[in-house]
Parts: sequence; C-alpha cells; structure tokens
Amino acid sequence: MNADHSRAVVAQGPTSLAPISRLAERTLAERIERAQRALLAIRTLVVGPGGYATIRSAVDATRDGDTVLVQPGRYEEGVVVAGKTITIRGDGDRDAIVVGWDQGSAFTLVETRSTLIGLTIVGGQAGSRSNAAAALLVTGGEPQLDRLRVTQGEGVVFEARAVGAITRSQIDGDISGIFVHDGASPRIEGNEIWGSLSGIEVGDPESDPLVCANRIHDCPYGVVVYGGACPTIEANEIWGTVNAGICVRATGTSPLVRLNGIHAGERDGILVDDGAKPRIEENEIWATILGIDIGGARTDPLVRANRIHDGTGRGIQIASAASPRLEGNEIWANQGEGVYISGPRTSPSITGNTVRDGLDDGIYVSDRASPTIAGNTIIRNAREAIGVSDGAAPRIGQNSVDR
Amino acid sequence: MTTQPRPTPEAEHLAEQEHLLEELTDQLTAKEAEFAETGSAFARFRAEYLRRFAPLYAELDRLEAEIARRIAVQEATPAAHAKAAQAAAQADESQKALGDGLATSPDPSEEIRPTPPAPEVKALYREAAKRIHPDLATDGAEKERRTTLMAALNAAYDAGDADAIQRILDGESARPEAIVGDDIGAQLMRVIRKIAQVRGRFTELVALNAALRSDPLFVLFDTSREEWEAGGDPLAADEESLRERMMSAHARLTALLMAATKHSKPRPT
Repeated sequence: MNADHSRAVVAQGPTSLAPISRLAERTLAERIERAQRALLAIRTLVVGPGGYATIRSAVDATRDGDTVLVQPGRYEEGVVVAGKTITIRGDGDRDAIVVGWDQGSAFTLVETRSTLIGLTIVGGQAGSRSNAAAALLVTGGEPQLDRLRVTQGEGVVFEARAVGAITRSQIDGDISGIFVHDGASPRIEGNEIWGSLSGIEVGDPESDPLVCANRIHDCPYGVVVYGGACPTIEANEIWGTVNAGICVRATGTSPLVRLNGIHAGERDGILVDDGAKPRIEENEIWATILGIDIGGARTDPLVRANRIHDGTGRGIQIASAASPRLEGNEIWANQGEGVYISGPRTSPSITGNTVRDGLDDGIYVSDRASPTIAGNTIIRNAREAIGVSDGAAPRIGQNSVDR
Repeated sequence: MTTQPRPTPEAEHLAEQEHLLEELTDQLTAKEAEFAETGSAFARFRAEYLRRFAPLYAELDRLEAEIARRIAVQEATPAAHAKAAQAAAQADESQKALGDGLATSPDPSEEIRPTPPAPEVKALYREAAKRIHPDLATDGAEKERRTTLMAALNAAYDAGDADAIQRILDGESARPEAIVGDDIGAQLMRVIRKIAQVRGRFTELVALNAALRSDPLFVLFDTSREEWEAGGDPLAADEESLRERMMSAHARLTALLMAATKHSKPRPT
C-alpha cells in the first residue's frame, strides 16, 4: 500500500468520507436493495383449482427462481422447460399428481438447471424406442430430478451431454427405466427400477454416469452398458433379472463394476462379452445360474475380490477366446463348476482365488482352452479340484488342492 | 587440539536479537509487499470506478435535483422545498466527486484493467523494501533519506518498473554507511531499537488496514476484486441499474417540462 494514500484514508476517518467513497457507499446500498428486490420477486405459481389450469401455462409464466406447485389431478399435456431455472413440485400425494399424454414426453427439459420433485410422470407411445416415448426427456443442462414416479414408455432419457441427477425415484418404463446416451453423464442414485427391458442402459463412448445405490429388479437386464461407455456402477442391489444383472458388451466399454449385490437371477449375475474390458471388483453374486459369464475375443476384464456363491449353475464361466484375469475371488457352494473354461484361444489367468465347497469340479478346463491356473486354493469340491478334458492345455502352477 | 572460545552472554544475546530482527523484518517486508499490492490494485479500481460512475451519479443527481426543484416550485410546500434542497446538496456532492475524478484520473476515456505486478518485480520490491525500509533507520537523517527512497520504490513498483527498483537496490548496496562495525553493546542497542521500530510499523500497518476497510470504496473493491482481476466486470450490473434510473429520471423531467409548457400556453381560440 502506498503509505501516503493509506495515511490519508486514516486521516479522513469513517465520519468524513471522501465524495468518491460516498458514491461507493451508495453503490453498495443499491446492491443490497437490488438483492432484496430479487428475493421478493421469487414467486410460487399454483397449478390446479383456483390457479393455472395447466403446468405448461404456469411454467411459461415463470422466471428464474420461481416455484410451480402442482396440486393433485391428472394433467394431460407435454411440458417444456427450456433454459430457465425453476422448481416444479408436487403439492400433495405424489401418486395423485399425474402428468403425461399420448403425444410425446410429459416433460422435456432443455439446457436447464431446474428441479422436479414429487410428481408421477407417464410416458407416451408405450413400447416404442424414441425420444417421444420418454416420460421425461433431458436434453443437456443439469436438472435435479427427485422423488418422482415414472411409468411407461422409455422412462427417463438423458442426452446431449446432460448431467444433473435423478434420485430417490421409482421407475418402470417399458423399454428402459433410465437411458443415458449422447455424452450425458448424470448421477443415478437411490432409485428403484423394475419391469423395464433394461433397468438402466448406458450406450455412448462419452457417457460416464455414476450409477449408485439403486435397487433394480424384475427386468430382463438390470444394467446394460455398451458402445464404449465407462460408467461407475457401484453399490446397487440387482435381483430377479431374466438375462443378466449387469451386462457389459462391445470393445472399448470399460465400466467400473464394484460392490454390487446381484442375486436371484434367472441366468447371469454379470455378463461380459464382445471385447468389453470392465473392472469387476468386490461384488457379491449369489443364487444365479452363472455368477459371471465372460465370452468373446479380446474380452479381458479384471475380475477381482468378488464373492460368488450358492448359484444354481457355475460360479464363473469363461469361453470363446476370452482372456480375463481372475484374482482373489472367493467362489463357493455353487451347483456347477466353480470356474468353467472352454474354447480354443480362451486363455484366462486365474490366480489367488479360493474355490470351495462346490457340487461339481472346482475348476474345469475343456475344449482346447489354455488358462494359467496358479496360487489358488481349491478345496472340498464334490468332483475334481482341477478337471481337464482331452485337448485342453492348461498351465497349472502351484495350487492348494485337497484331491 | 584447540577449543573454540565460548561466546560471551552479550554476544549470545546479540545473536538471538539479530535472529529475531531478521524474522520480524521478513514478516514486515511480506506484509508491506501485500499492502503495496493491494494498494496498487485498489488505486486502479478507484480510477475505474471514478471513470464510470462519477459522471453517471453526477448526471442522475442533477436530474433528480431539477425534478425536485420544479416540484417545489409547483407545490410550494415546506416539505417539497426541503426535498429540493436535499437533492441539490446531493447533486453538489456528486459533482464534486466527478471533479475529483477528473483531477486525478490520467485519462478519463481510458478503461483501466488490473495488471498485477510480475512475480520478479514483486520479489525485487520485497528485497529493496527490506533493505531501505525507513523504520529500520537508526537516526532522523537516515530515516528521512530512506523515506524518500521508499517513495521512489513504491512509485517504481506501481509502475511495474523492475529496472528502477534494481537501480535503487544497487545504489543502496554501494553506500559506505551500509557497512557497520561497533562494539557488542552498541550493536545490541541498535538491534533492539530496530526491533522496536519494526514492531511499531506492524502496529501502524494493522491500523492502516482497519482504516482502509472502513472505506466503502474499499469494501466495494474487496467484494469485486476476484472477478475484476479475473477479467470480469463486477460493476456491470451496478452501471446498468444506474443507467436505468437515469432514463427514468429523464422521462419524469420531460413529463414535468411538457406539463409546464401545456399549462403556460394560451388556450387556442
């Protein structure tokens, strides 16, 4: 600080401000006044008896910061929120506040940071795969979707690099519960999703959503990832799926699949094929036909520290020239083989795993497969610790076995 | 084998005090540099604020004063006259702020953006300030000399002139007075006095800082600084709001003038 200037300021003191400082004092006071006016200008617009007849008309009348309160009723319309930042909130029992029509999406959110809470949203054009079928279409922006009930059609679609979040919602779309593509990467957390062809579907090389703590059940597929997408799929509970709890496919698709509980599936706990390279770590998979099913050339996931047990079939199946690394998994009490390896050029590395108490072979190698099997503990299985069929060429190192 | 002579208690104490002085001087230099940097940025902000706002407030207040005067003439009530007098006083004050701005601003038409000094200029400034700080002088004449030098240093820093700062440093190093030699007692006395001077300057800086922060213009600067130095325009909304008020005042004054003209015209036959 220039000492002369600062001393001059001291000399003036707060009671004898310079004219320029008095102007600044006015500017500061005017700023406060403007902020107060802006606060007072935030309004609540009510939709329902005595208020706006449609959500669309209320939304059209909003400014940034406003809240639209939707009272119980059936609102057959499509609402577009573009650009502005507002809150649309159900005012009452969520199941009695129903929005949607058969001509397209109930809500289309375009480049907005708006919030939707406590509504039932019905998709249009049930059974078709298109944006028009989405109950809720998010195109860009960063909206917050919370405690919604979404039903029919494509469920919720995120596209055009949208982020934001969908949380604590219940969703049963016809096609996907939630479909993420076109570079979108939302947070999908704490939802319950059921009855769709796939609970959550992610299919774009630039889409990497966080899929966390959801409950997904009674779908053909729980979570489907393809097209080079790299989401994090973490701490979800997935059960009652017909084909796979989590399905990862296609070259370049490399999600992190961690700490999920997958059970009571009619076929695979986790299915990996067609060149995908996920990291599959610390999941617990039980009561499925195949705990983890890996197949296809250049399909080489890292499968580490998972617990796979009480399956009605195999713990892990590796086939069709796949080359995963299996490390430190615990596989027990499955009715089929603990690890089943088959097919020419199928050459996984299987080290440091425990395979025990199965009703078949611990590890079985067939059909010209050539795995490396070393450092595993393979005990108390009903048949061989390591069974090898004619033509297979495993490299078997030191393992701890009991027969 | 030879043993090192044990230092005398006075020599040990002198070493401790010299170490303390060194630490305090470093802290003071850092504080002075920070203060100088803030002051330099504040001076630019002040000029920018003056350039943009003083003319607007002056014009707005002139319009409001004229409106109040005309209403007072029409209504001829004590309240209206009091309001007109208040508005006139306000207009005088903002006119004075405008006058101050014209007197101190280098070029009123030139937009002034923050240009923080380069790191090497800052480092040089710190080094020079540490060497020549007036509060480290041991007598009145030396203090006066250092005060003059410090003013030159501050000017060079404000201008971001590294060469000028270096010249001041070089000149100071070459002075024979920079070389000292004396008995331990005198040295100790000198160090203790310097410590007292440094501590005094610290207290002064705290007071200066507090005074500065009581200035509304500095408060405005402080709340706007981050955005302003990042290249944004934290005053844009303030300026826009002021212009809207000016337009409103213009409209009201025009309406008053038209009404007056209408009443003064003879009714057409």
